[in-house]
Amino acid sequence: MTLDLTSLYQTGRPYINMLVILAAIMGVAPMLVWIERKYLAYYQQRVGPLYVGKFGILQSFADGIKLLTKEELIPKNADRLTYLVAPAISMTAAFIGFAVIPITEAFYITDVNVAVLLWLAMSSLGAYGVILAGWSSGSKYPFLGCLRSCSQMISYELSLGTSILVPVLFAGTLSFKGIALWWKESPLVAQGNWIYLIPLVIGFFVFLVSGFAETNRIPFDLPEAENELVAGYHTEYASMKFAMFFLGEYVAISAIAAIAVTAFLGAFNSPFIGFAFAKQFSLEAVWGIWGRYLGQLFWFLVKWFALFWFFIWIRATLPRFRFDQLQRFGWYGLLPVSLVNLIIAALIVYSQASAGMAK
Amino acid sequence: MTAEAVLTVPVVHLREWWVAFAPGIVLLLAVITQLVLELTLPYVRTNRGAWVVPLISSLFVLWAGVEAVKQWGRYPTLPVVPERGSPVLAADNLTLLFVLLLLLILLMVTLMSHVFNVRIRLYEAEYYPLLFLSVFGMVTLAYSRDLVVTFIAIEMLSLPLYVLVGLNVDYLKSGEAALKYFLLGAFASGFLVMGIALLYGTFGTLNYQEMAAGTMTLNGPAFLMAGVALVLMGFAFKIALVPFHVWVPDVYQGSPSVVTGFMATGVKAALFYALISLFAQTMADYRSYWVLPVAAFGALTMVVGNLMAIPQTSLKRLLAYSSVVHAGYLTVGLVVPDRIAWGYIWFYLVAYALAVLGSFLIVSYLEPEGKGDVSLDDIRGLARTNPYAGYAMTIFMVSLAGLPISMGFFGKLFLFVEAVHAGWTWFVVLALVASVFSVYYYLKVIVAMFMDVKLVETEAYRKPSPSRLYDLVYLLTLVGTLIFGVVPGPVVELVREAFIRIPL
Amino acid sequence: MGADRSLKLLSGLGGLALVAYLVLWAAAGFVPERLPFFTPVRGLFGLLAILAVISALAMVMLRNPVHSALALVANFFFLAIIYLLMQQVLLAFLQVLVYAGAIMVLFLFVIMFFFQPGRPDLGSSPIRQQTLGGVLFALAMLAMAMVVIFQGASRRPQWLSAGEEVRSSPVAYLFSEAAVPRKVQEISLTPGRKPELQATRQEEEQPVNVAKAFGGQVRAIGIRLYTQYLVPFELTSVLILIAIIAAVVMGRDRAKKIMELERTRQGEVSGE
Repeated sequence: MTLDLTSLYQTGRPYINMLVILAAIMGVAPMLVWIERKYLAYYQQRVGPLYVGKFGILQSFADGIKLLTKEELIPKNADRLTYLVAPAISMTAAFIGFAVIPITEAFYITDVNVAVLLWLAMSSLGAYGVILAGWSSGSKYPFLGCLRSCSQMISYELSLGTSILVPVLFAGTLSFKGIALWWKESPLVAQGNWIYLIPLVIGFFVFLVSGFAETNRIPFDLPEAENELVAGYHTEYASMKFAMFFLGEYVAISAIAAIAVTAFLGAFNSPFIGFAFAKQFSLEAVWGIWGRYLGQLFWFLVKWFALFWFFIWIRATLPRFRFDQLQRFGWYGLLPVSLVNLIIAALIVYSQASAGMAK
Repeated sequence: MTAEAVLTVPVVHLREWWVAFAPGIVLLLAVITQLVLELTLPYVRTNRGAWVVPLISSLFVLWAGVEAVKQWGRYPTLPVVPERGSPVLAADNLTLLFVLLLLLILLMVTLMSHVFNVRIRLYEAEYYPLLFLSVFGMVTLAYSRDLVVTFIAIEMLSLPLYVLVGLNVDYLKSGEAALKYFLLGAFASGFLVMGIALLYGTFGTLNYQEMAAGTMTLNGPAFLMAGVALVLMGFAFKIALVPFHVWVPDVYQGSPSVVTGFMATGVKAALFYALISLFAQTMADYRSYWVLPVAAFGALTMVVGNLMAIPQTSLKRLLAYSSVVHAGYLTVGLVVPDRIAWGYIWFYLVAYALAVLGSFLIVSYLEPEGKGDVSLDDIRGLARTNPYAGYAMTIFMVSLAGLPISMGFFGKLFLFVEAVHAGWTWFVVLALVASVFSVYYYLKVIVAMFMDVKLVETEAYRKPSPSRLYDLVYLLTLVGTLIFGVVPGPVVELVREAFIRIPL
Repeated sequence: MGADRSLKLLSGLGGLALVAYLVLWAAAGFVPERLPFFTPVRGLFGLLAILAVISALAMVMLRNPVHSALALVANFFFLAIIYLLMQQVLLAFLQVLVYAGAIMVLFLFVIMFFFQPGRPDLGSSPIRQQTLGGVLFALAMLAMAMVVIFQGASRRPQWLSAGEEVRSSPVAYLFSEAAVPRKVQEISLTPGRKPELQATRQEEEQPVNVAKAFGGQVRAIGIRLYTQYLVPFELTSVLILIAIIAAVVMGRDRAKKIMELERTRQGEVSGE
């Protein structure tokens, strides 16, 4: 009996990819923390982590070991079960987002046809982790932090969802892989039809801002504003459970960045895809299909890292919002803009379709 | 999506909406006008300018009425083109009669709102929009020929009511009433949706026309029975049939009096038409499934409602139970398998609406400051201190009791005669006994007004009416009740004419 | 304390049922011919059903409302997975997105204010004989559901023409013999005719990727929504408008607003 390797790979591929991506994130997240700390230090004219390893590169791993080996503390007032479950929810919800992101044409965990909905559902579930953490700690600062976070996430989820509908509308699919493949033959690239760029640019802006709010990053990190709320919803958390929140936050940022890349920045396609010379100089021309995958991986990582770096840059640059400003900005600013943007996108699709019919 | 797919999606143009559904569209226009007026003109928000919005809105109501009359005999449907599917919204003449009744109720409620609202400090700019949106829901319900639309319409008429009920800030029971109504209403909606799902399981369609045309093949009779039971429960809650009436007295007492009048008449009219069009018309072939439950509901309602009404001392609670009982009488018309009986239900509802709105008009301005309710003690000797109110109230009570020379008498007469012809003798006998008993508590009100002497008098008790618009509503209700109580012929002719030409 | 005891009893029974079920399922692996019920899909369905029932009961019986809310969220999840088993991918994710992700978060947001860990409960005052009434009502609904299910399952929909399979019924799918994806359903839209079900896209018939094959639901539902159900869809927008206005009225600080309004009203009246 011969082992059918190809079919085995076909069935096992999602699981293998799952393991690879999970391991990659687990390994990369501490590095991202280190990069962020180094960059922040650079912007603030400090040196940052220095002693553990070359350039302090092992600092995050050392922190991780420290957190792992610390004593587990559960506050007396805490609601035990909820208190223990909250960090797990937070981290799981962040991780599941990666299940639907195509990193290259062939390297993804699953290609659900409702991927956008899945990701939105998971990101809204992330709110549970924060809310439950704040509530179950049985203490005031975490509670205030979780209230802020809850209202913030609910408000910004709307514009997040609405803005991502623009590429969905253009590509005509709710699958991220479908969107990624659409980029290649999109009128924007294939015909140089620049009108498609308008809603995409606005949508990208709205998406990024809402993404900042959704992940509680700095201009919107009210839920954990140090000077007001100590550390916000995870004030009462220590050791491994804190590490899970911390990890979950970075994973969530990575996921938002990856989705922004897929939906708005041309996914894994090369930015020169529309130009003639790109065909001659592509890796595909040299190494065939594997070259193509390699090129896609390269471009995805480059774009993704640029976005991540943008997150750090913003953190170093902008001060924190006040809470009422944040709500006002979300409801009066972003939501109308994203709705109008969606209408513009729909009009473009409709007019282009009628133009196509006329021809 | 490809280009073809984008373009072949059939759009229902605004013009089609207008052709098929003009009264509803006019109501929406009225809502927009009201909101814009309240936003842009500060004058309409002062006490002196409070009449502007209701007056302009009542013009819109008249316009909607004209549009409804224009549809008479035309049987408009939406989608207009029959190839595009079975009608989702449609209107036969009976629908239009009910729509006109709803618009009449809305007109009167609008006219009597503003003075009362100033008195109870109900300054919300959204009052009139909510009122009109609720009626929009009712009109949609009347036009509805699809279970989904029916459900949406019932929600549309309920949501504004939940809010309107709680608007009397000075009266603690108002908030309580709103909460009760909302919670129980949400519960009832749950029943309704579940029932609709089961009906879908039975018929394989949600459209009335397809339900009536198709034979029940998809699933067994248990599906249909369960579906009918649940839908009926949902409706029974809104109409306040007996096991589901418990919210009525508290909610009717707690809400602002004008809103109570609106709830007691408008909701009942709209939902009775929904019952007619869903059960009596669409499911006429499955009468055995729903007739007995409806009759049981009705019988129980008459008995229990009357028993509960007798000991009441608060006028609003008394009227609340009276409205429960009247719902019971109306079910008599529902079980009769004859179209003309549905027309008589409409006739009865007109009589009922005039009398109830008139009584609540009087209640609304007799209310002592900040009390929100009128007790039987409060109206002692009213016939002497304020003869207008006293005699008017007497006529309304007579009409509600169904005694002669009032429209209520003919309403009952026509319904009961039809039911006897159809063989529902036991039901009619029960209804007659119930109405004899009900005379007792209506008389109690009259006795209090004529026999007793009022000890303390307030200004309201001497003033005939606080505003011209009030007088207008007075006139409408009184004249209607009396004239059609003597010569019901024209209205009956209208009902008959509605059935001369029947679609299909 | 009665409630606590019954809660313990219930959790014990639930746990036992779960363990017994898992043991049975494991046994089915060894003697599949003796336990034919346990196909992978059905086995998973049974597990999820037990979990869903347990979480629903927990939602009713737990004393802390926040825990109740969480049990309800868990219930939504189990239901969503059952929908997935029925291949209703869109429904499953909408369930999670709308109910768990949006509605229950708002619920929790409110409940959290009133019940905090470590503080004494506000206490509840149950209506008399509430439990009895609730149980009776639940039993009545259960009986009705049973009748409906068994009556429905025993009959074959006659509106399907002779050759057609019972593809459209997810429940039928769940309990059908072979748990492999069947033909993809798509709605063909020919102008002048009612949208009707047609089996298209024959090439996707092979059970390669269940999710992909059935993702066409989004499209199918969208087309239905914008053709057959367009009027209800548009009326829903009015319903939402009503809800917004109602929410604005309810959410306002009315006492303060009234004082303010009264001042302007009286002021303008006396000023003239």
